Amino acid sequence: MAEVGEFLEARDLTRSFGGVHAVNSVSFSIAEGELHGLIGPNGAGKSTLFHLISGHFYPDRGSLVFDGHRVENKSPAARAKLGISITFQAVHLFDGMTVLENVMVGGHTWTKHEWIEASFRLPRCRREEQNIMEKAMWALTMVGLEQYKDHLAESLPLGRQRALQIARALCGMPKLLLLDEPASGLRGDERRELLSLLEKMHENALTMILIEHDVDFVTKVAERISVLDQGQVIAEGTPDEIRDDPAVISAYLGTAISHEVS
Amino acid sequence: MSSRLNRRMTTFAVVAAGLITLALPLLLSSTNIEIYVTIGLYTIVVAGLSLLMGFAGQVSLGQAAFYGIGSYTAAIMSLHGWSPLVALVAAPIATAFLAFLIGIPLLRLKGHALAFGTLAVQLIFLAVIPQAASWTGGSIGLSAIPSLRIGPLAISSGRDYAYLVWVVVVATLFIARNITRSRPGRGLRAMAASVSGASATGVEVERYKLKDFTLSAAFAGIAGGIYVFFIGYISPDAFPVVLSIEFVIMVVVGGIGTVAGALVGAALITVISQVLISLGTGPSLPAQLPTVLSLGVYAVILILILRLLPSGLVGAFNRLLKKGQPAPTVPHFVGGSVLEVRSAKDTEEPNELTLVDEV
Repeated sequence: MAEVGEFLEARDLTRSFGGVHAVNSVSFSIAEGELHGLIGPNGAGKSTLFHLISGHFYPDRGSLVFDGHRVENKSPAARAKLGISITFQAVHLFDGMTVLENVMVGGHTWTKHEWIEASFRLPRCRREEQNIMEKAMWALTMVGLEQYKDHLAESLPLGRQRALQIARALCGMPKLLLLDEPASGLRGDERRELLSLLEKMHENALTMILIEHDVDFVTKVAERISVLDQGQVIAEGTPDEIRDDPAVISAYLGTAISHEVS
Repeated sequence: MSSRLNRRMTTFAVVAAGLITLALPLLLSSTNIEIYVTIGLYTIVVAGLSLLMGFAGQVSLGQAAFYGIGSYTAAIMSLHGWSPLVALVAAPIATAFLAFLIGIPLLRLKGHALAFGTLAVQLIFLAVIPQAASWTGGSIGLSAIPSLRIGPLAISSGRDYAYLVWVVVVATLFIARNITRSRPGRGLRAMAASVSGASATGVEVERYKLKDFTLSAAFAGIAGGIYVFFIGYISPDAFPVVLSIEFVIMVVVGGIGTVAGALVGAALITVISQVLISLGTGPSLPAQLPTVLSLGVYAVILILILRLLPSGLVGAFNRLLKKGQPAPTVPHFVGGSVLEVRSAKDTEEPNELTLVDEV
């Protein structure tokens, strides 16, 4: 069990769909500034766990404490305001809005002005709009998309759409960034760019959870890795420890064999 | 360079439109002034509805009911001794409050179900008004509504109302534009594009929908309030279901979610409906002809716009302006096409074999 005061701490998280325990009594903890990998074969429960942390699913049982707050029953928007930002595997960009506008939506979490202030462009509205714009440009520069700021989001190729999602998350000034399979479907050079972006954000002390299917990719950047299989954490440790763990090998081999047989 | 040219053209267009707006009431006949005021009133309603349809992605088929609620609020209050100006200010507030209450359960519905829900609101409105006769005057309605005064200024002639309504039009378009260009508007547009993306980014989706619905009702409410002082009497016949449908058509024709589209759509459809009424009215013509004619023409317009100009007249015009400038797309540096990107987005390729290699 993790100590009290961990940055993110899950205890006994459980979520079932029908009779299937997609996530079954999962506990883990993540320290501030850590880049934590979460891997597992297809159907291991990675995406369910991701959505339990993001707030798009609620757990049947268990608790999730983030930065001193109980969050397991909070809405995604409320969690975003506490500092949990996410990027989706299936890119959820805002079509019809420019790249810059997409990123600026990320500023929602730390700004306050609402309808009446916006209607008359009162001082707080102007000030916050200026701040959001600056932060968005910073985030775009961080991911290397600043020259595309006026393009429509949906016109970008997939690799840049992924980067745009990360920029949008960064504009929210998150304390924790959850990345759901950011490398899937990317080409070689796009993967390398993503890798160096992850390293750059890690150097800036951003806490990250990297959910990935691809062990090779995760072991290159993550400090510690949790392995999920059939809804449970079967191993946790440094990349080297994970590589040599017999339970991990058998989980992956088992999947691979059944994959070949079927 | 071209953006500066565009800005200049926009400034020119706004100044020209302003001058025409100011000059027209002096030139128009009294019948035409009535049409002119109506266009202004409908522009206000349509600007609100456009914010709802274009940004929250919700269709309301009950906007005429909110227009009516604003009218009745202003009428009843001014007949009960309140000053007409207070009644006029109360109209959008009361309408917004009612929409807020209705919206709490109603906005749990989505898409077509919500559209029918709002249609039900309108039908209930049309059923309740004749029953509450002691307040509303029943199906005969209320008359002898006092005329509007703003301080020492008596607003009585059609020309006065023309100026009043266009001041309010400018104010509402200003508000609509400000909202679309700042945090709440971005949140709304994000929500219309992807609910899960918006909520993950901190946009409180349900609350935003409710606020948008409330705001669109407030716009309809102020227009209704001005309407009742302008006409001087009120009855449920002034708020038929077909008026709600006209509002939706105005939004679509002008261009969903564009502020200028509200003005274009409202002006065009109002003028067309007036032309159809005068065409369909005559001594030897059946009494239902104007209604049937306008419904038929609306259907044709709606189909043509949706088929040929799905972004409406203003959207099409904007695209025309942008022609000649480079299209805002990004070249695919590493080859491949948009189609490939789309398919890569949806599929999750099995990677077990690479994993095994690694282990």
